[in-house]
Amino acid sequence: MSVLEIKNLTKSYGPIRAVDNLNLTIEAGQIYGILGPNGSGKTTTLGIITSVLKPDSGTFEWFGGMEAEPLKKIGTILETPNFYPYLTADENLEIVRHIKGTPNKDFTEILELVNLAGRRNSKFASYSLGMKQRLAIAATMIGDPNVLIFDEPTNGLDPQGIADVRNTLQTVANSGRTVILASHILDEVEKICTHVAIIKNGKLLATGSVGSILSNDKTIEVASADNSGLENWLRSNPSIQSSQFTGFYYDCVVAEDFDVSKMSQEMARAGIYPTHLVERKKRLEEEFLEITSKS
Amino acid sequence: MLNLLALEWKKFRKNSVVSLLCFFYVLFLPAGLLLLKDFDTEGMPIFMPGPQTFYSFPGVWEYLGYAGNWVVFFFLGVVAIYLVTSEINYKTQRQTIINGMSRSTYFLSKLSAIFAISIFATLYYAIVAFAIGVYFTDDWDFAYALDNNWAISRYFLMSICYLSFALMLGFLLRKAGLAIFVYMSYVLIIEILIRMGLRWKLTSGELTNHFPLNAIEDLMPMPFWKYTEMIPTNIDFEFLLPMKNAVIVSTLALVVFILLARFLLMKRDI
Repeated sequence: MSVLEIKNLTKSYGPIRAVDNLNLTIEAGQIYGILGPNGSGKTTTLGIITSVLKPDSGTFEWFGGMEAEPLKKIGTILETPNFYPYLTADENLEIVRHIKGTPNKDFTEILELVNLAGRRNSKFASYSLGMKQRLAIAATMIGDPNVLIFDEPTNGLDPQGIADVRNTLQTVANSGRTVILASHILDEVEKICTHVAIIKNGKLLATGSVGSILSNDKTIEVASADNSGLENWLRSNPSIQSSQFTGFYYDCVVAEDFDVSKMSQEMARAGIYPTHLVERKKRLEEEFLEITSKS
Repeated sequence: MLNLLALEWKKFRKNSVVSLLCFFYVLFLPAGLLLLKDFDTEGMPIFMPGPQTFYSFPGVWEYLGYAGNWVVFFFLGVVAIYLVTSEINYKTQRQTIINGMSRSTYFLSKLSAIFAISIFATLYYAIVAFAIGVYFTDDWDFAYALDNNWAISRYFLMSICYLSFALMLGFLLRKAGLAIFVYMSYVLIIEILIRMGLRWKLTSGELTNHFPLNAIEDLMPMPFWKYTEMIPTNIDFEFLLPMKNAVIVSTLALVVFILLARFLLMKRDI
């Protein structure tokens, strides 16, 4: 069953087209990552499907149009956590509960999930950015929603805050709900998501499962004491599709059947001795950069 | 409606700005009238009222109503602006929509809030006016005390009109400072200047009395204006709108303010 169906969605801000004829279908149970560089139209798309922005054209439909008030079945964080600064966590969550029309409930369980039960009576204004973000995640859980939407949930957080939010997201993702996660932190998406859509300048460039998006190519990390000799050797080797120096080693894209032990022998014969040689699957980040640089 | 009102209560009951402004209303409404206690009438024309008129029935309804005209405008109008702009500032308006409340229901919640504030303002006015009247009027009875020419209804209409104008400006301008500045400037300066300009052009003053904020003000006018009829002047028009006209124009303005505020919320990005 499709949870969300977006058809030909378009939205412009003056001369800038933020979303350009976007089509997307998200099925129940998917952990769906929406990837794109800053200004690619991720937040605008989420703003439209949560009814805070008006599209110029196109349509979207939640739950096949079966729900009269679909947003009450969805928990959303769009950009920043938005709460009343002079109210406590409990009071703010009570307002969300009231809007969603769910029965009276103690919020201890969801506050414990985000590790905020001890600060439930503190005013929102006194929270750190990480705590605010965690409270926003707690608010999304009210009413046991079928779908959760997170827009850049780790933006602006310190490393501890990022780790905390990531752990919470992982817990949420494992709960069987449909999750839509917009981010430009690809490592985050790769760890959590089952499916991705890559957008740039408002246009959909690729969509599908993470496995189908990632090509079968792999990456070899290689470094040597003689980096200039290594670079010449890499360029002259037809099996190396591309190579890029990262500052510490060369990242080389090779075919799936590339034999790394043979590469090591050939380098030795050329008088180049690797100080670092690691074979790994191509990461989402590399695939993302390749797809977006082509467009 | 009560459910929406309960939600607004949860949102703002601990807000210090709203609490302070409501406290000022409660404080300054009777204070505005009681400050006139030492009003010096020496040297004034003989037909002008003495201080006793301000406090006793039936005058207390008009004099306290006029004091209320100012305090509703200054304090409760700003509350109405704040109810909208603070939610835009905190992005809680956006979050409310994201959490599943429709825009029309959200608008209804704000409308119910200003409706409730207007009822509170009117009830407080009625209680204070009645209490002062009872204290200062000799030989009063209920029929005499409540013979107030629809003052309570006019006060309610005046309150809801000021608050809906403020609400509309809040939705239009979105920033509290700017909305308050325009609200104050329009009522105290801009509309008066427009009316003066038109009066000069049209030579007929009565038409310009039908401007919306002037009509709202004339629902609870300065009681002294009625004495100007006794003073010979070169001005060829009435200072005050006839009450029927004030009620009609104010009601029309109220409908326009509410429809415009709703239109702004429904059509714009949040």
